[in-house]
Amino acid sequence: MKRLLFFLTICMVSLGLYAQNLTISGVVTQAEDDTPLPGVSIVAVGTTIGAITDFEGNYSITVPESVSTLRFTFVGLRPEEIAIGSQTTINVAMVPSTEALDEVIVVGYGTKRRGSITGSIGTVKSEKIEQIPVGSFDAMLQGQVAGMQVITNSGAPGANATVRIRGVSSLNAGTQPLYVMDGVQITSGDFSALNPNDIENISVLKDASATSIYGSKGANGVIIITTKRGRNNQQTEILFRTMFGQSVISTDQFEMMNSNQKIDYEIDLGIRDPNNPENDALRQVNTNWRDELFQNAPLSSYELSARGGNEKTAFYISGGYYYQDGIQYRSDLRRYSARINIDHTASDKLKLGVHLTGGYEELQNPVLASNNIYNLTFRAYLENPYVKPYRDDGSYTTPADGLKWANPIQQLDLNDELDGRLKVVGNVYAEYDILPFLKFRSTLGADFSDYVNYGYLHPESAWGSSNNGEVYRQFSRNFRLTNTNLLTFDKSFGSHNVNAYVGQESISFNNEFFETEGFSLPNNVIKVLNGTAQVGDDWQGNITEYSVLSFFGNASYNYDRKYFIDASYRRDGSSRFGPDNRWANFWSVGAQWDMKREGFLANVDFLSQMKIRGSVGTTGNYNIGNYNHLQLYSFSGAYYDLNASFPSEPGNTGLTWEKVRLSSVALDFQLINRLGLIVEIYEKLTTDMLSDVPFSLTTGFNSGWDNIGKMRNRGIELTANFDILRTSDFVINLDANVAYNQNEIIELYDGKEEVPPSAGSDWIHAVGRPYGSWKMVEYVGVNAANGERIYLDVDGNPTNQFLVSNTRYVDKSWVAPWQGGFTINASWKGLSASAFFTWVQGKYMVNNTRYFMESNGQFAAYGQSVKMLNAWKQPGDITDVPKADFANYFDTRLLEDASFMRLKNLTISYTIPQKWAEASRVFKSFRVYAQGQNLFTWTKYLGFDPEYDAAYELGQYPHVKTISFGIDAGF
Amino acid sequence: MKKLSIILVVMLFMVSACEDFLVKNPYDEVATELAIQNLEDAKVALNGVYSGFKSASYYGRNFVAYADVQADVVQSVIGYSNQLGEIYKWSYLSDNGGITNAWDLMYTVIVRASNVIDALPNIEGDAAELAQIEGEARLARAIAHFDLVKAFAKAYTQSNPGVDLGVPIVETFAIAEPERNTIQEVYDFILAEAATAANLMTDNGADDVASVFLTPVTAEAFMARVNLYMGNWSDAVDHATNVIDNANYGLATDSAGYADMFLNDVGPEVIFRVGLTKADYNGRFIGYNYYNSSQGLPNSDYIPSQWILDAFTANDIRRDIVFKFSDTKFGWDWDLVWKYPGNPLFYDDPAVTTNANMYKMFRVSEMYLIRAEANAELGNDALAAQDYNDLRSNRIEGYITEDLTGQALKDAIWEERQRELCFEGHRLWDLKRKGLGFTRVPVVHPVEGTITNPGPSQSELSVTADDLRWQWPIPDEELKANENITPNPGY
Repeated sequence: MKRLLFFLTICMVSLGLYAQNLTISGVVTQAEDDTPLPGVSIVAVGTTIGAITDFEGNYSITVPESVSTLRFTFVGLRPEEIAIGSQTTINVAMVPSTEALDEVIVVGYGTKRRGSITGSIGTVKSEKIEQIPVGSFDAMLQGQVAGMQVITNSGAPGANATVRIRGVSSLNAGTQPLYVMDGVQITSGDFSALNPNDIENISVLKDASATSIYGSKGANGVIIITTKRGRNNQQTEILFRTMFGQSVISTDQFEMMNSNQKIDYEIDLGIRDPNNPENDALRQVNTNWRDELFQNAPLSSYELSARGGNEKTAFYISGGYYYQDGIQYRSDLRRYSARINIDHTASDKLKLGVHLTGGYEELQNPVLASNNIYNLTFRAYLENPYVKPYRDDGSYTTPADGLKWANPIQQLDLNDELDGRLKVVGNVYAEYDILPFLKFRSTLGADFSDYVNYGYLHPESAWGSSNNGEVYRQFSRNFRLTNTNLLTFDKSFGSHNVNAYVGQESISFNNEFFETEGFSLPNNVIKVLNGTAQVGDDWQGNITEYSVLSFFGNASYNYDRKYFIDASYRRDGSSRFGPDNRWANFWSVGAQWDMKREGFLANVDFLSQMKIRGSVGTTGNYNIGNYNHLQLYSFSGAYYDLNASFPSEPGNTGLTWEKVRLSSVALDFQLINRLGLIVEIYEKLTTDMLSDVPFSLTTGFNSGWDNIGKMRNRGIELTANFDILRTSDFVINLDANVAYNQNEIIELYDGKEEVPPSAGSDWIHAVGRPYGSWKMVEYVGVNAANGERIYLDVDGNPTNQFLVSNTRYVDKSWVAPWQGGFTINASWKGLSASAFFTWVQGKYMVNNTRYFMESNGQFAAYGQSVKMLNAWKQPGDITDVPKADFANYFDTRLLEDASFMRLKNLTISYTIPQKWAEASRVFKSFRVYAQGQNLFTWTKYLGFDPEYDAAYELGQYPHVKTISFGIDAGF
Repeated sequence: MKKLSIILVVMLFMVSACEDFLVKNPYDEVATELAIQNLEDAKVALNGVYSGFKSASYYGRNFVAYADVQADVVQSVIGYSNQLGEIYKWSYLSDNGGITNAWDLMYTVIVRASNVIDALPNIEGDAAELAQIEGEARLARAIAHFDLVKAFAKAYTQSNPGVDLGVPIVETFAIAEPERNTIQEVYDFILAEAATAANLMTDNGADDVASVFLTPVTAEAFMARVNLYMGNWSDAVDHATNVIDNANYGLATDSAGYADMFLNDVGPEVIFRVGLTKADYNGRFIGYNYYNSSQGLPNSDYIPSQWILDAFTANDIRRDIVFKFSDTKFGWDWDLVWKYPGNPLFYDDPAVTTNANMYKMFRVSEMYLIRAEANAELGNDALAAQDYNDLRSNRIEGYITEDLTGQALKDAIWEERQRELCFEGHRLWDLKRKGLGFTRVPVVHPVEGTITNPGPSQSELSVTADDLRWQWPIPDEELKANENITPNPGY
């Protein structure tokens, strides 16, 4: 409150200063070709008085006499600040922005010019996101920003990604970053209902200076998404875009036995009678189940958008349709989306606007990696090659024909599984200029989604016949309301530039779900609950809620754009903690020194830019269950159809925020205007980690939540941009980023040195080691004398015994320390090509699929890898496959290097020259392109795909390689 | 300025309102201190104890199935799903999920029961009803302690019970890391609890037959079994007699009654069963791995061993109720375990089931077998032979009374026990308390001449009586979270 009073005092003082006004007018043109520039915004520096150029580039602005400078800004052009002096006509020729410094960057609760930001912020522009044949925008962020690791877990259409910014900073609480779209927090994981083409840019907030303004939600970094806006006084641009493509399986490095091999193998093992009269016929079958269950999958997308504006109102609208078939039989994504963004200037002082999108998606058969038989990918491995999917008469085969379970193709044909989701994200805002340098903005935003799962089991299908058909419905609604009120102060006093704001934010979240099912359907036409004759076994429903209340402020000051300092403070209260531990304070301080502006560097010509910046501060994490602090009894059980209650939470009244202290230093420089480099080192120290601490099971609980331990991430990030060649027609440049993150668990609890994340896990939380460290029995090979496995015991001596007590750390983790990406762009006149590579290094994953397919006999009745044919058979055999003794363990034989590099995207496009487009009298612009997604993958991993964010990979839906062609036509 | 003042006022108002804004309570849960406040709450919380019993990790499936799968009454088949595989192969280690879950659920039952018992003194209400609730809760936690000590410690009769470690006795909820009590202490606790429970509960006569709730008769049956496991022969005889003499209960007297008991989970022979309904049977299927016709032809992971099939004579009414000869999805046919045909309350189509039935924890026939065994051990051969013949006369068509004494009588009672109680979760514990090892003999299909079960380590497994793995491992999860607990050797 004190701060607010301070502002009020300033307001009063300032009021008295105004006396006379002055009107200035002129024309703004593009320096290159002298064409007029509409839509340029002109601001009287130190006030909020502004104007915008009309279609002819003319403007007129009336300013108080006290104003000494006008600032001209336009996206992509270098801002100009012109001293007014005695001029009443000021004409400006604007030049393209060469310095990234002047770019306007979206930061927490506002925007800043890149050069004035003390924090570490990576940006991704719309070009990287538009028209990529991927359903969910988070998956497109891979390799785009140094220090942000993005792993997409599946090739299923619309699959979302796991995103980690600067390492894993929590043991048990959530590690996903905070996503904010147009100022509204949105739920991660259901982005596939949103149209990525609507996104103008994405800012990735990484360090304390950038994130601590988000306080308790900033610990995992913040991703701010800003959607496209119209511009004032711009002719309406209409853009039609369409794209068509085809996806195929990305990599497939697994060779399974064919029928001959498999039958011989079974005979060798003694589980098939060599004289079985069927053997010869079976040898002829040779079904490749992967061909049967995977398909080439088409893709298409259409989008129409328009943006523009007059003096008072600017708008952007879009409507899109996106369809992507999945390579797994009967899986696909269909999305309908629409957006409307309107910004309106109601008066000199009042601005109003709305940013709203609605998307509806349908995901068919969204089965993810798992070991159940409903997972087609897993079935593709498990079924034997000598069993056919169809009989000779075209009917489906069944288990009677040798299938392991019901015919998967038949089941998918007969049964339905569909996720429908309606997602609405939007806000309305009003902004009022209380004083020229003081404005108040209030935003009310909502993140809403309705989800319905439609399940239908055909009465004659194997899965549905036991209940004579089944209809299942689940409904879930998420509703998060965010109200943000901001009071912003922005003023320059000579060379002293001050920007400050105070704010208050409240978030309330509510989820309600229910599910129900009915059995017994009359025929194969009726597929809704109304047609079922019996109530099913499953009915559930519940409501959960949480709320967060925050008060925050930020002040930044720079002297002559040479010395910058920035400080933030936030106080958060959360319903997820008890009354005594509910509130926490977060803060940060950042500073920057623009050395190039100092006299001693002014004449060093090769050094076009040199800055050093650093920040320190704290953020928090409260991504746990909504009620973990309470000691609770649940009523969700039943016994013999009577109500039953039981203890459900042990409770912890002392539970409080997890805290992260971040510090970082960065050096940012540019050589001969060609090579830009940012080198940044950081440390993130997490304390009071929210953790589900194991209890003795004799308590009746497995675990309870507590604040424990310490974990540290340290790393270095390098971002480079190199203009290799730049002539008027020909441009080649390279963008690259590399990051290394070293994670270490410093302390657990009760002095424990190691704790498994879950019972029986082969990776362990261990003090002094990185998160995700594998501790396994080491397998070194096969004893040629007897075919037994050779393991190492705890002292490193060979042994033939597999014992849990012999597990050792193998200095490998499933979380990769190294990652990066690079893009090469080349363009010549209208033709351009870009190749974008991403890579991850040092990721070790257990190939759990091989546990089944290389089972040394245990699963010999199912499809097996050809490798098993090399099993040891007699003394002297030198092989890496032990004798088929039916024993099968999780040892290091299954631990694989899942590092990879991918040609993520290759695009070649041609934009026809402006003259031709205009001559057509139809188009204003026209671009055609071809692109390939995931065209090449380099990896040692032996499963379908190394890109999977988990410790164990089992039957992952394979990633896809997509070729697509598209047209962008402007009208 | 006025607007700013309004903003200020609004912001101040929000600060004052914020503590309320930040209080959120769950909708399907209540604070523990409010959970058991009256008689009705206590009944609901007591149902929570039973719902622990019905867990798939406990009496819903695994704990029952393990005792037969781990022993020698079944054999795995080629192409089996590997479900219950580590148990079958005796390859389980301290991280075995099923064993961990069993330990977990047994203590869950104990803690839930203890919460009820601890809440009762503060509840006003009908004294008899309160006593009944307390009795059921005490008996439930005695049963869970018995299961724990049976599985995780040496058999009472094969150990030095005053010295060898049992399991921690837990009588109240606390975030603690308890040590193991001795086997003797655990058994003393179990018997004391059961005796207290028997006195607290009300006998509702015929209404208690085949009850899904614990009754005074269940307490007697339980004490008979516990005393048998301890070798307290005369106490075992006394408690078994208390059940057998109860006119409300009796043996199934013909094959229709015997079949009805296993199909519909009812009948005068059933003392206590763990209740299941159509709403929750799914996943709680003891018979799933023995039969499983959920996708048409049976998909049996485990089939009966030859010796148990051979143990039944042709005139034994149980033969065609316990087993069913059937084709399988593997392409061969065999006698499959049919003691869990799938309760028709759960399934619309009797031919397509996951073989769920309610677990009949105590049946009258077991009381005959307990009394016969105990009397034989006491040298009361005539009394023992009487019970043996009484039971068999209800099981064998045209039964002729056998006149047995001494070792022959003991052997006959033991064999009868296997016939009567096979696949009901007894075999492993019976072998263990008797200090017997076993050797599996591979099943060879008589028609096709093929071995239906692979791998010498499994189908020809030999386990000696002194194998350390008769004592299940104290779960890794427990060892890691409880610094005071001693692991079992051998893992």
